[in-house]
This record gives sequence, structure tokens and C-alpha cells, in this order.
Amino acid sequence: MNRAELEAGLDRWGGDLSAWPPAAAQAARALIGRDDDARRLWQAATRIDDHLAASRAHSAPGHLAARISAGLDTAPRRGDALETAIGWLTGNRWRPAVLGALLTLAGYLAGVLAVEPVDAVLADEVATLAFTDLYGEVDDAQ
Amino acid sequence: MDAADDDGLMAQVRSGDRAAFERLVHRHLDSVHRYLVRLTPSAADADELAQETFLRLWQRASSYRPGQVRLTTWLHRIAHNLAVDRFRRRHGEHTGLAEPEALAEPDGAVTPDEQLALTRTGRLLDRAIAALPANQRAALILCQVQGFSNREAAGILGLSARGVESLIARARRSLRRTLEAADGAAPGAGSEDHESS
Repeated sequence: MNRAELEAGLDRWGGDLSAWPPAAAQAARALIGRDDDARRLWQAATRIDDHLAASRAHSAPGHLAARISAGLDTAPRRGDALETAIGWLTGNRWRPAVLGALLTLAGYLAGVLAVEPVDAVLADEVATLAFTDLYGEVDDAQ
Repeated sequence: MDAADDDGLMAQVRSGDRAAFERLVHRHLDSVHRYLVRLTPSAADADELAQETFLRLWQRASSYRPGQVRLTTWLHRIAHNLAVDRFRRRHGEHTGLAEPEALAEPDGAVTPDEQLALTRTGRLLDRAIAALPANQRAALILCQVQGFSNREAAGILGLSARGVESLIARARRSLRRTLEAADGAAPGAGSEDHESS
């Protein structure tokens, strides 16, 4: 391992060599042991890690939880039914297919129950065509 | 803290249980606030956005899908999006997640955490972190401070896991360069030894 590879590893995995892949960590330890510049690079990475770790101990201001609870009264829940429906639909892949099948069935039933019988429609069309031809012949004769 | 417990509490919140909501606030407020403090330019912004984040949890509990995402990931995604929206509105199209002044200049009573920030390296690093591009800062904080995996952070930021890894590497390199430059300007400042872990 050279210094550039060490830098790339420090950027990718940080200064904690135990979090590195074992072979890379072993090579990094060897380089750090014999090269002062490599050691400084590693120390800088470790100081960054330490600083970030120290910032994990953070508490929100004491009043904030009470403020949030008080805010519930002015933040009514909305859209529950719509969101539940969307959530149900997106929950599993088969659900949109089931919904599509149900809609198709509903469309079919609506067509059967609400649309005029096919025979009646056909009869009207035949009658219309018959009169059209009759008047056409009358017009031709004149 | 257990994700199954969170999901159970969320089921209660969905049916309007305020006590369950308050337990979730108690569990997750520090974490969400810590992220927002690092992401936003002022402590007041972090407070308001944390409040808004938990109100969204209350209002939109029915859209939470247990098993698909951990509650803490879902909350951080809400918090992140609220922060980006707020500062985009405030600064036009520019994202504007600017330097957190509360961290740059701590005031008032000094807690042990703040004491660390008052050290030379701590202040230097806080400023360097605050000066990172917003997406690098968010990725670094999510993974190195908040404890999310690259994949979870990717879900929060709307990026790929590889993209998050790249952002973190660039952030770390930038911070390291800042330390190296400071050490060069003040010889011996960074010479303390660290034990290999």
C-alpha cells in the first residue's frame, strides 16, 4: 500500500482500521508504522472520527417536546382515508391487479345493467338504414 | 430502542393515541434535532423543523408502512425534506442549508459536548463541516453521527448508496485537508497520538 491508497481508504472507511477489510487494514498498519506522513494522514482521519463520535451526545432543548405536544391541537390529521387507500394499493404488487380486475368487473356489470339491450339498438339501426334506402330510391326516381 | 416497538406505537398513533405519539417524540426527538442542528443555519430553525417533523408524523401516520422502512429513517427523510424545502423557499432555487451558527459560535452554559467544540480542533472541524456542500454534510452526518447505513442514508437523501459513499469520501477528504492545512499553519497542533483500534 502507498500513501495515495491509504488516503483513499481513509476517505472511504475512516480512521478506524478495524472497520476496514482485513487485508487493507494490515497493509495500512504496516505503512503507518514506517511512514511519518502516512501516520499523520491516519491521525487526521482519526481526529475527524473522534469529533463526529463526540457530537452524538446531543439533547434537544427541554421545552421542545412539550411544544410539539401542544402543537397537536392546531395540526388536525387529514387525508387519512385517501392515504390509507394509496398505502393499501402500494403495499403489495398484486393489489393494483386486483383493483384493476374489480374495476373491469364493475364496468361489465354496469354495461349489462344500465345500457340499452343490444337487440333494441340493432332494431333501431336497421329501421334507420331501411328508411334511408327508401328515401334514396325516391330521390333517384324524381 | 426497538423498531418493532416503534411500529407498535405507530399503530396506536394511527388510531389517534396521543400518549403513544409522546413516547415516540421522547424516543426520537434528540436524534432528529441533532441532525437538523447540523443541517440548518440556526438553532431556532432546527427547533421549528423538529416540531414540524413530528407534527407530520402525527398527521400522516397512516402513510407509514411498517416493515418497508424503519421509523427513524422515515422521520429523518421528513426532516431532511422539510429543511431543504424551507431553505429553498427562503433562498430561491439555492438549497441554502448554510453554516449552522449555533455550532460555529456556541454561547451560554457550557456542557461537556460544547466544551469539546470549544477546543481548537473541535471548532475548526465544526466550521469545516458547516462549510461542506449540503449534500456532503447530510451524507456524512447521517452515516457517521446518526448511525445510518449508506443504503438507509441513500433512502433519506433520494440518492444511490454508491452516491452516498462518494459524498462521504469527498467530505472526509475535505475535512482532512482542512486539518492538514491547520496543522501546517500551527506546527505541532495535531501531533497527539491515537491508538489504533
